[in-house]
Amino acid sequence: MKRRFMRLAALGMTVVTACSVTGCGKGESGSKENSDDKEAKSEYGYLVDYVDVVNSENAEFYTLAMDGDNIYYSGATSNEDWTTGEVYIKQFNIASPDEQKTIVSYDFTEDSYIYIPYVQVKEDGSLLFIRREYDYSDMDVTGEMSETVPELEGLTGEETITEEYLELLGIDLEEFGLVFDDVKELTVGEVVDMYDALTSDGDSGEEYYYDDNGKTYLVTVDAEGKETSSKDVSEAMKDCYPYSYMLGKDGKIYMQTEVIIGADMDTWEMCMFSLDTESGEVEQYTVGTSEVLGMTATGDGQIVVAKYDDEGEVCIDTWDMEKNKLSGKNEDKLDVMWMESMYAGEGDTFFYSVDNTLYTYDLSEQKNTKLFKLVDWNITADNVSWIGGTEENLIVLTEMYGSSNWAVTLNLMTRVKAADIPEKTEITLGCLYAADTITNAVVEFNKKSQNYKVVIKEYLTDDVEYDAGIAEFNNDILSGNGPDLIDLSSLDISSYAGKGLFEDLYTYIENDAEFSKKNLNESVLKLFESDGKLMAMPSTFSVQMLVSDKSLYGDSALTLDKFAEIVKANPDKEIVDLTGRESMLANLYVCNSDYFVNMADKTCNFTDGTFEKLLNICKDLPSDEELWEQMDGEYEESEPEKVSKGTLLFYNLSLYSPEEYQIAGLLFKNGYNMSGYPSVEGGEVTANVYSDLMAISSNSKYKEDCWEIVKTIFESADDMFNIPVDNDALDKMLEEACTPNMEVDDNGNEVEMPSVYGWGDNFELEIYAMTEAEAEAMKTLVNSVTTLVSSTYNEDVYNIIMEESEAFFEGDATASEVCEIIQSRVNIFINEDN
Amino acid sequence: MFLTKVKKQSKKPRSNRKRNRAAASSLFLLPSFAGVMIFFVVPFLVVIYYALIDNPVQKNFVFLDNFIELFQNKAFLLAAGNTIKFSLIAVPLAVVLSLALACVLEKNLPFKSQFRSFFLTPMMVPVASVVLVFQVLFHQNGVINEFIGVFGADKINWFKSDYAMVIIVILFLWKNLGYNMILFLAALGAVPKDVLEAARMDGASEFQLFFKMKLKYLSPTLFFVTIFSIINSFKVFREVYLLTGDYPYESLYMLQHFMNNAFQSLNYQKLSAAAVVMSLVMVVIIGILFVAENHFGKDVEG
Repeated sequence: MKRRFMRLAALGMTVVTACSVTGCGKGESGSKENSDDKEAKSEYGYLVDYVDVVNSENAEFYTLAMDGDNIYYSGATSNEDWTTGEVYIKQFNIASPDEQKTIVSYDFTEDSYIYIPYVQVKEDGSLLFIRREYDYSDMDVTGEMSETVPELEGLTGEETITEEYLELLGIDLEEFGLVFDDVKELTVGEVVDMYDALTSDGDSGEEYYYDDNGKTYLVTVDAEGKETSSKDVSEAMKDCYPYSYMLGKDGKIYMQTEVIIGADMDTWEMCMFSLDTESGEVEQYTVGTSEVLGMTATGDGQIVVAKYDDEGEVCIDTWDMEKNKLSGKNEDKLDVMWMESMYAGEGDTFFYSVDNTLYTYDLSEQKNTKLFKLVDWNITADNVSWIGGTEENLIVLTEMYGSSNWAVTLNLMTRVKAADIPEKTEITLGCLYAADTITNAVVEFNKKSQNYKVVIKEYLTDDVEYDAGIAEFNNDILSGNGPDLIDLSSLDISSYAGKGLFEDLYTYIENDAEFSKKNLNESVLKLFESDGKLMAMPSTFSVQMLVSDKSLYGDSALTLDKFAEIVKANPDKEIVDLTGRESMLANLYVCNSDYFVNMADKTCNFTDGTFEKLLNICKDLPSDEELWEQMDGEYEESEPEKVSKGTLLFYNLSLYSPEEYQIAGLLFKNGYNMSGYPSVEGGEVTANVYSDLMAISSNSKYKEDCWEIVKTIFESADDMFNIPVDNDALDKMLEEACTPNMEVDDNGNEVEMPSVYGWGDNFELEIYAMTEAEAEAMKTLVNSVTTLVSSTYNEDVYNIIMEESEAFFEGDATASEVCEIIQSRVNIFINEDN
Repeated sequence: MFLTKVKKQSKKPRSNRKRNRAAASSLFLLPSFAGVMIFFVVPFLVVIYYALIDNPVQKNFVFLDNFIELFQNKAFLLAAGNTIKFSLIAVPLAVVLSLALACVLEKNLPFKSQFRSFFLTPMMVPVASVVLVFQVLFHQNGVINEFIGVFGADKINWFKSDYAMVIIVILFLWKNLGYNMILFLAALGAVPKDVLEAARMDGASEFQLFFKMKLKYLSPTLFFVTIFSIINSFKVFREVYLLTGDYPYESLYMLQHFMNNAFQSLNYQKLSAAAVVMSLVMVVIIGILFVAENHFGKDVEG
């Protein structure tokens, strides 16, 4: 009996042990939310219909209101240069979006503009809206305000200000919440400068400038658009520049805005304005000092404020309409780090989005519910302008500026059981972070594709650190479960080359009738070749150059020797902006890495004296740390300012647009040299690719479809701050840069208007249309890139170099000793790959 | 009645009982067996599989190509050479010195137990701390360089010079001597005193006693300590890695550096081939040690 008991006990222990082993890795912590997510994901989904509200090159969208199935929206259309057009409120039924009816319409010209920021559908079907009108007729041709302060004869500006002077100058201090005591110690000139700054400069000034010329009306029209009332509320609204409009349960319109306070004009306060729609009265309240993240009204008209509480957590507070202040109840924590946007829901609920995810919050139950990741249903979070409806029937309005037109789309989302959603084959797109261009392209592809759905897998999230993300990415690829498509930007491309992991994209380009290799920048594509195969397809790139005065090294190439001479001859000048010895060494190494490490021949070359030159060039520069310490808290002149004053020798040009090319030229009036970082031979041109570097996994089952996605990403590339790899797109970019911006001046003559670029306090450059010669030179430059910053150097080698060089900079080793050690260590790295 | 019952029980077939016992034993063994299979055997088979294919994505069978490439790889040859060199120096030193210390501490010395504790303290210090101490000692501006500077000698970059291996050997010995010594002390204590006494009475010298008698009784421990030291010598990578990173000075580049870096650069096939070679070498070494232990210890083992 005893023996049997012992056996049973032992068996029990064995089972327990076995169970505990099988249970390994399934921790309980944090799993609840995930399991809920999975359940929600597996149980429900959304069927989405897309309704294009606006799809035009010259159109704008302002706001939207809903009344059952009827949608009312305000917007504008215009001619090509926005000199004439109409502002309107249109109505349509969700069931028949093509049948749109114009309720009201106002014409505008280049001297006037109308804006309808708020529309409300009243119970009787009439519409109430806010109309703001702006008059630009007193603006001069340069876009600046006409001189508002008259020059007074006999005044030098050095006189101390008096109330009489203020009157003569026509300056009303009360307009800015100031009294005479606030300025009594200033001179006339200083007061005039302050007045000019407040009325015509800076972001806030722009708002004041509009206000000075603006009128605000509260208008009511019947269902047919016939105006039944119009109240001029301009005076009451003169200090109100709302971020958002909310309909309160007391029938008032609440507006969130910031108001300038204090004599220093630098302090702002979050305020709430309420507009009584019956009387037209406006009242202003202070929201308080807490940092407000967003405001919205719930469906039943409670005003909800998301803010940080004293502990720095995001919480929900409500606006007390009787006491006209925040209720101060901060109990409702949202368990998020920030708030992206908030929208009214139904009843006492509201929607909010954080980190591309949509949530709903029920005020009465103090409970938030995660609905879905917006991108999973083909919505880009950044494009969302409005959300309404219920969890079951959501309406999401998105705005997107495409390659040529402004598209405003209603996403009508009906919640259904997951089983009722047509199945699509999933294609995974892996990346460290999903760039907007990729997300937008994926959304566009998913909307169009009947059979496939691209799912973005980001390896780096708030919870996952870089190394862990890279490790997971590598494991996925090598286990054969990796993404079908990969964005290689931000990754060490060299470590993936030559391993047969990715498809040769040249094959796809050659077999695609829409593509021609000749139409692509071949010098850039060459940077992503491995054994003659194109392992990744970039869409855009930028070029890193050093620009200097022509006299600095004349017509010779910028070699390391020449650069060393220049550094030695100019000990009192800054060489490259904010570049200390470590940064300089890093830049010089990266741009010469092919010379020091030859992966093709499996050799490294740190002991022939060239690397010693690099070390000696850098040793007399201040360390990066010293440099940052020097400028800590100090005003640092901008790079162009330093160049124009002659205190900086080389302008670090990141060439991503024709304007950048022109700026570099304008900075050196006596002629300039444009070169890559100094190299052994000189004349290198270095490219950089920050995003959209797409590769197709050799393991993917859907390679042809992946290619279609690569094409979508390529075609929707953001070339606003990048140079396109597509030669046609580059030609178009240069053509636009060569087209002068002509306007008619006061005398009726057509004059070219420059674009004005400003740095620091006073430094400005005016840029006119690019000349054909400049365009041709820029084209030649971008077509002759020779090296790629992100792929030509290996991080391990880079780390060895930076680590060992420190000993030389600290005086612990000679340059040749350091070179010997680097040679020894890098040699191992090279031999490993041999 | 009672007798009948007993008889009936004893009539139960013997083969059935054996089968039941075997089944029960198997059941108890199952978790361990599953653990060994899942965590050791299957992964090793996967490693062998990876060593025979071109890459984990395309999975083309290349037979011994990876091994051929491995033996042509200069980094592998350097790592293997350094590892063998280190083991050949460090393991005999660890065995001999710990045995010598054990012999000394076996005598009736003052502060004997304090000495024993002293030699065991390195075992209690975490690796990271050990590494920190060695960095402070052997840094360019460290204690050792300061000390030799007193005599007018130039500073030595210890970890990035040919002296690097010496430091790692010292570190290895410092860390492992104590444990080996304790094992030898236990083994020395187990040598039969009467046999030793008889030998003494027969006129055996201390030298003869040690080499002809004690060493034979110590052979199982000697075998274990040697195996243990060889394994630890392969694990010295941990300390070297913490001291010098992925790519140390050439003389410190060990096999595990090669494998670790191959893993980092996604070169699984090279890593797997190296792991297979390394395990084969270990099997051969352990086999040789088994044979040696059987040969030298056969007189004293039952």
